[in-house]
Amino acid sequence: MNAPDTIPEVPEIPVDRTIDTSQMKVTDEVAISITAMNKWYGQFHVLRDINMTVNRGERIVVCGPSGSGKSTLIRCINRLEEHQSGQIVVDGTELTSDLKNIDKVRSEVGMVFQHFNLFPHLTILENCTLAPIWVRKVPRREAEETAMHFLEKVKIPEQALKYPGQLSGGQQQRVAIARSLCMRPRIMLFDEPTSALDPEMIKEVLDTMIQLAEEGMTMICVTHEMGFAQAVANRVIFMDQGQIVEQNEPREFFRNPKSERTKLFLSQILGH
Amino acid sequence: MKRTAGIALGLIGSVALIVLVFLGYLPLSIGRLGGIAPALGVAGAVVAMTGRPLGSVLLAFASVLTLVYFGFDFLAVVPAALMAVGAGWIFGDDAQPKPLEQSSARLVSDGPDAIAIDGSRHVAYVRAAMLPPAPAPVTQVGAARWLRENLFDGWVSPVLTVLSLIAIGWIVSEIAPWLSRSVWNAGSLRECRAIWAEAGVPEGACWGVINDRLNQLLYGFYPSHLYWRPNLALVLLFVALAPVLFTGVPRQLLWFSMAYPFLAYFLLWGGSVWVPVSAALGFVLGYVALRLLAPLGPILQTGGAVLAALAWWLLLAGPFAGNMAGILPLGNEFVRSDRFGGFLISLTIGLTAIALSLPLGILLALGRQSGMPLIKGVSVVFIEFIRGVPLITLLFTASLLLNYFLPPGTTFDLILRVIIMVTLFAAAYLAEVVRGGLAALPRGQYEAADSLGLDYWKAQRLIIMPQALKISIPGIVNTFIGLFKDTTLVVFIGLLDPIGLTNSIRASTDWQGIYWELFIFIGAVFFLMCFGMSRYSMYLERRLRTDHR
Repeated sequence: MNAPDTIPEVPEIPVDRTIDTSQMKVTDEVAISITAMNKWYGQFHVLRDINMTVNRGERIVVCGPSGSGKSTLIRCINRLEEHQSGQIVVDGTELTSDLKNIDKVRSEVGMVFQHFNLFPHLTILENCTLAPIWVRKVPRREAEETAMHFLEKVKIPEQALKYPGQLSGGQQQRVAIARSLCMRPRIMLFDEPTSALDPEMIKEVLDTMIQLAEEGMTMICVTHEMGFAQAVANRVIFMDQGQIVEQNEPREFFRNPKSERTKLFLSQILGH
Repeated sequence: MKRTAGIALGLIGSVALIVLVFLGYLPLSIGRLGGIAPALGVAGAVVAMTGRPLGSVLLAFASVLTLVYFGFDFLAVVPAALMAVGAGWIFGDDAQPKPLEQSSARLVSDGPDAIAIDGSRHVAYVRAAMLPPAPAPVTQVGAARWLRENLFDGWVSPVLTVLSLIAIGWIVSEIAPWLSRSVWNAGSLRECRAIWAEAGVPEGACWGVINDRLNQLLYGFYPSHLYWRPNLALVLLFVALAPVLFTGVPRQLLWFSMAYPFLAYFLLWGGSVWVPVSAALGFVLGYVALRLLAPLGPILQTGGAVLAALAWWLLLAGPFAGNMAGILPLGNEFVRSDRFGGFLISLTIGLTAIALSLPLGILLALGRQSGMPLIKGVSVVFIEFIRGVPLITLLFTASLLLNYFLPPGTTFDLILRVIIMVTLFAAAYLAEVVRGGLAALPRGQYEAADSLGLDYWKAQRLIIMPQALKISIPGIVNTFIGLFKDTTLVVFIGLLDPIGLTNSIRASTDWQGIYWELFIFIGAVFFLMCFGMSRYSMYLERRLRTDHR
């Protein structure tokens, strides 16, 4: 199948407010640097020669067809997956098999999953205070105040004493974001945060993510929400077959894709 | 039509009964009121013909009356069954929802309340007036509905219901007279027999044996002036269990729960206070090592803590206890293990094994899932070996073979050995139960815990185990109940648990020939304890249900 000549328009992001870009500043400080990184699942070469640098304040959207390794890439950044060669340095800490480094990186990198992965046996508030209390050793009262602060920010403070099973998908995902934020991370990873949600719930989750971006959070998002990429990201990375095929600032990326693979992918994802 | 057939059956049953009574095959003298039963049956059938629901009730009542007054004579059971089945059929038919009456058919297309909105009648329709809710038919609510759905649905279930009632009635009629002739105050079986002979009744239940030998059944040959010690241990057991089992209890009591095993040992066996203290110190040492070695990573940390505790117990605990006893001889009267018996021994072995096997089982389950081949291998071999061997062989190993392996001169208490074996046995089963719970957890839970920076043990303790154990509650309690009842197997290695005591009780001339009363009593006590565990597990499942509401 050949890539078409014209790329369809990127849809408007489904958020009814103007995005405040005043705090979105990319600094010179390096947050994540990945050099010549490779990963295999058995004989299968999932990630091939990945090189990328993320500066503090960047909002990066990673896209690509399924199986292209984009989830695996961001899962390597907090060592949910192990890489076999190359180097990943997060906030100055290199990820090796040293458990202490891994725990240090994990407590500074927040992660939001496609299926939320809230702890069903704990209330919303307990979900949010667990890690601060047990990992950061924050006193319970203080952890609860922080948790309520972030629950208010994602606009569900009234659900604090319910259990995850009582909330809608969109609410659960916002709790998951608040749970990560309670650890005061410096970097946030989003692994297809809206893929498991109904359209009206996608909106509320995107809204929360935009809010984060507006506050200057360093974010890497694996997502198919191209409207979000266009409006919020400062860089879009396209991956295919385990490698970075193309990256550019969003306007150029969508208007003027260079690679045939990118054109094909964009026409498919934006075409319908 | 089933209703007609039901009325016919009811009539045939009632009339047959009347005929049998008149011909003298069934004695009316058992109870004059018995005569009402067939009359009621006829009345019921007649009422049923008029279409009233009362008919089936009368017929069913007549059937029960027949059984009550004529007993379980074959000649009475058959007509009674006919009446009951008839009642069931009539009732089932009465309870059928009736077809919609004509008035409610207005819901469809062209009634007076409906208007066509676009000329195409019979397709589009708008309701003009809303219908108020109508009460449900009597047969669809309350007791009538329950009876129909559960006892008299279709034709199989009335038959089964009647058969079950007959079976229950037969069992009760066999046992009740025996129980009703119970004798409570008797010093021997001879006295019981004298009492029955005097009253001119057949033999009944002679509970005198429980009365006479209660202490023996409870404590075995434990010195009677020290009964207060096991009693106190039992009372304190409830105090120690309260914070573990229920959330409303102050958390500080958990400290007492942790100290309880050592206190219980001191109360039950007695002797120098330094023996349980030095055993407890091993745990303290292990815990301190666990805290101090935390920077070395989970593997070294856990291994170091286990080694520290083992080193203390194997090398230092004995001399420590001996020396301290020399310096400060504190203690109470020592009771040897062979004086233990009865429910004291069942509870000691059962509860200790339950308390020890759960943590061990959890560790084995985690070990089996471990990524480290050595730990995984040891766990798998252990679980498969223990599960593949009958408990009784393990008990014989405990009682006989262990002596060969231990250094000569070691005295290793028999009850302690049995506890170890029962614990290992139950732990292997629990490990598999817990593994099932672990397997049911989605991978995302592990990933979420990892991504928040929780280390292995914290993730297990705060995220994984609370969920995995919750899923495994039925299986865990099942294993516990099995373990508890398996403690009766110790009779084969010469420990006098309640079952073992029945033999020695029968060996006395007073109680030669007494079987049922002892076993019923022991069974009832075991049942109460196991049923208690079962109910608690259900309570726990309800309390922990947080997912779907």
